[in-house]
Amino acid sequence: MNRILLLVIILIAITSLSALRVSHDQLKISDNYDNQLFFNVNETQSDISQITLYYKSDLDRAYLKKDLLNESTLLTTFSFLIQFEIDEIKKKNGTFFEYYVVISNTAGEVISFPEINPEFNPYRSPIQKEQIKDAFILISPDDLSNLIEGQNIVISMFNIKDKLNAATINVNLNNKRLKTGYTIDDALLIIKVPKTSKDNKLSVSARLTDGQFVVSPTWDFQKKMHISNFSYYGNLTLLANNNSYMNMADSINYESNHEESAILQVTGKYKSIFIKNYLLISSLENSNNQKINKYYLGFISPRFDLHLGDYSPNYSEFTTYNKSVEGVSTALKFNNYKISVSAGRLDRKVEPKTIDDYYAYRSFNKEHLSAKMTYGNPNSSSFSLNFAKSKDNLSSLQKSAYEIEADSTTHYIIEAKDNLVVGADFELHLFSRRVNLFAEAAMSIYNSNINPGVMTQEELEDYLDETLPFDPEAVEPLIVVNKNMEPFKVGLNNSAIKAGINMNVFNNNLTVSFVQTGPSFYSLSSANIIQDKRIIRFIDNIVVSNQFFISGGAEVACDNTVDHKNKTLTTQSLFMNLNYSPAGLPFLSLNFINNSNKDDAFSDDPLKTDINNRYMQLTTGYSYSFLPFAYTTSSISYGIGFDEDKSRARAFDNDRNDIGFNNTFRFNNIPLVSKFGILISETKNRLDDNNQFKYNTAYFNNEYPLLDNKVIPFLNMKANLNSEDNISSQNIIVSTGAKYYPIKKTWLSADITYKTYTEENAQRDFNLLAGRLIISTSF
Amino acid sequence: MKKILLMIIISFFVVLTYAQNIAVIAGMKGKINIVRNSATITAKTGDVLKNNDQVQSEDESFAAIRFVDNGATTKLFPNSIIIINASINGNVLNKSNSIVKGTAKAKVTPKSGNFIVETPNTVASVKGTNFLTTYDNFITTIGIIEGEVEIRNKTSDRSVDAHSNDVIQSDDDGNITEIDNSEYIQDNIDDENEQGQLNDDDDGINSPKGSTGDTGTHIFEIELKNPDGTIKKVRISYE
Repeated sequence: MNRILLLVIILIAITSLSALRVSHDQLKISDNYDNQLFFNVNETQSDISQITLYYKSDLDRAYLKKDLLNESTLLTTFSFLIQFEIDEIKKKNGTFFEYYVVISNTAGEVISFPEINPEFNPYRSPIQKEQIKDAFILISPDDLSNLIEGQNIVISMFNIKDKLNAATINVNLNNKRLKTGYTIDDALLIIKVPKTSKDNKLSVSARLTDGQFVVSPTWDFQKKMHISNFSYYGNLTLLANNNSYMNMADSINYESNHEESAILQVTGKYKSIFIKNYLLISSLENSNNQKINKYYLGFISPRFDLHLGDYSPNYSEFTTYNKSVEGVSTALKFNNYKISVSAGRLDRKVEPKTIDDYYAYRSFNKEHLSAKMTYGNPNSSSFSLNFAKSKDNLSSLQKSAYEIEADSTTHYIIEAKDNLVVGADFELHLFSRRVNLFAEAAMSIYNSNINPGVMTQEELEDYLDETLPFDPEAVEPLIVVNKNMEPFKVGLNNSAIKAGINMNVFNNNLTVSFVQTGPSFYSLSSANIIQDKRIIRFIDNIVVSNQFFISGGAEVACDNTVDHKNKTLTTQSLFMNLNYSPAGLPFLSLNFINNSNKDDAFSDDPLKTDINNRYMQLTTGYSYSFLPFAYTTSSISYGIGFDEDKSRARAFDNDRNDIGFNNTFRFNNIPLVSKFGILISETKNRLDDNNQFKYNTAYFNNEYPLLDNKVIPFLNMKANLNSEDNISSQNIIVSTGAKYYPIKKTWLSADITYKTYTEENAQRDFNLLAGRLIISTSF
Repeated sequence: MKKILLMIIISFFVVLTYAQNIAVIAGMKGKINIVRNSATITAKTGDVLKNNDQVQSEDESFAAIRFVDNGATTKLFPNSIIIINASINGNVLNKSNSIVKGTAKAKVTPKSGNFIVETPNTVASVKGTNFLTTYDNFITTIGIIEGEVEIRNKTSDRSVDAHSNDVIQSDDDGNITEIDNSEYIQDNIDDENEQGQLNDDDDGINSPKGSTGDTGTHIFEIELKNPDGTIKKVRISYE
């Protein structure tokens, strides 16, 4: 009511054109100083008696009132501090400070600012809002490139903590508002890295209590993607081969053949367990022969290994080595102990469809059991006991498949074997494996034919004419004892031993070893056994510098380890290889080898062996860009050798000479790589002018990569022009094909080869057309 | 009256035990422990630190502790123990670091509140600087990398102003002297760099070439140069 009355008075005053004149400039609010209202009375008939401020926020409807002056004064200039009122309005988050002022004098004259309808048309002074910098600061982590799910991202809101309205905080991840997964704790916003993609954008916004809207920068963070506990890699290869012989001479009978096969290899890891798989399926698999198809599944863990299928245990060189056992192999591993056992079969039974076809292949199931017990650490020193038992299982075949009766005599088409090997080995590794010592000893019992079965003690004592301390039938599970046994006596005859040292010192890799196998030492489960052999070997590889390598060695072998033969054949080999490749200069390579095979028979023995072979080759080559069209590497080699039979027979005394010339052109403007070479070799027997051999070869190979190496076609040609004992022959081979990489990790290769062999007398002529297709993919 | 008294007592204890968030583990390597109210927690990046938290580093372990106002970062070196505190005064956060043993490096942004590094016998207060502090065998060593620090010995109450490259030692007997040991600063910075830690540009802990990050990943880079001078890098990472 008072306000209406006041307005009426104001209106009357205005319309009466009173003599009260005051000037006032609208307030401009500043944050840099305390704000004041200024008035200057230009004309008045009496003293100013009252100045009243009415103010409000633009968000409010009702005005607040403040008396700036409420007593008469002679002053004509006024200033009033109104910062408190402005702050009061600021807190209301208003955008404008709206006000008007009414001034009156003692004569009752009244004036307002603004003059017309001030209540409805007040001054509107914009409120300068405080601009907050760094409202949101990322304080952890520093590195946003590899965050883990659940890890904290911590954003400080310290600078806005007093004005923060937590309810208005908006966390945006990849332009989507997060509703959960973050907490506000004091002045910190803690965001847990959620399940999300690898690359992410994070931002935060909020409205402050003063109405200001604050937005953070956008932070890019990368999440470390979950790594599956199971990882794997492998490849699948499909292969098809076809060989077709044509135009064959009558004297030869090559069979056309073809093979299709698939090989799958997969290696996986689940936590600390490695899983390995190998599968080979071939069209050559035939029940009338040993198996070609292979399958293997292995589990290797820190404490236990399990190998199923075709697996080569490689326990030691003299017991079980490089022979595939189809069965189960295990290893139990402790800190200083390891026990390995393998059980299965080395060969499978093969029973020919036509048993009476005595030339048909047949085989027993060769059953196998081996074990190795190791004490120590294989990385420092270890000692192992080894055992292997291999035995053909007679019952795996029908008797008629391996035994026939003729002339009241039993004949064996195949003979079943029985073999027991025990041994021990030792390894010592010193100075971070720079010095390695190794040794092994083993002893075997071997029966080359157990088809007749075990002999009774009485039978054997009669046969040997001596009393036996054991019953052969009692030891049958270990070894079948009968007349076909290799003589057994503890000693070198039935033993194998080896020892050696390997050193990696002073840029040298030096190995000195000694190995000896007795004439009666057999191990059916090792692929490395040669009976009655002693070999002393010395091999050294020296790296003089990055450009200069030398390797050399010597080996002495003899075939009469227990001195049971009339004569001993000794083989001595000496070889050396030097390679020198100085930068910017031609490289040099020198090879030398000398072999001698000589026994200790008397010189007039017609069967005496005394042969010496010696060969030396020098090669030099250089890469140059003299040719304007191609970067070229050329090499030339010259070799000279002698083969001499010094025995009484004097079968030959050969001189050998050969020269080779090879070039590789890498063309500058096209992606063509061409190789061209010739080799001319001649061997002449000094003892017989008619005995000469000439081998001349020329080849021309081309590769032309296309489509950024995705397709690599090739064309190769090779011609051999030979002459042996004045009979000349030629062998020409042309092959072409391409390798194609259609997609990453996958390639296919197809090639076709045509070979024609012709001889002067046409007795061994033939043509061969061979095709091959390979598809391989890795994953 | 009893109720009022009870309220006052409860309020007092609430104030005493109020655990304010004052800092965050911004980066770390190796094993870092946080001891809070006698309980030990294995720290991880992003963990929030409160008043009186004790942060311990083990062998070959580092931690970067960033205060919530982003005004300072304290980097803890291996085999060190620090207790952190802070209090809000208006709009600023006053920070205090008490080194129980070992070495810490502090980087302070100017005008971000008081920053104090304290050892049992010495107080260093700064307003914008970068310096190292070691407390070992009852001797405090402070090396100023940049800026100015006021160092006061608690026993003798003697103080000195230390400047860039100064190394000051302070002991339990009240001695506080400048020493000629420029290696102190360089050796610690070298250690920091060798461990692939505490890049001053970001005050954080990153995994550099050939090092192990806190995820256990090793990275090697091999630089290959083609005959035409083109350089390519092969990066191999393994765990």
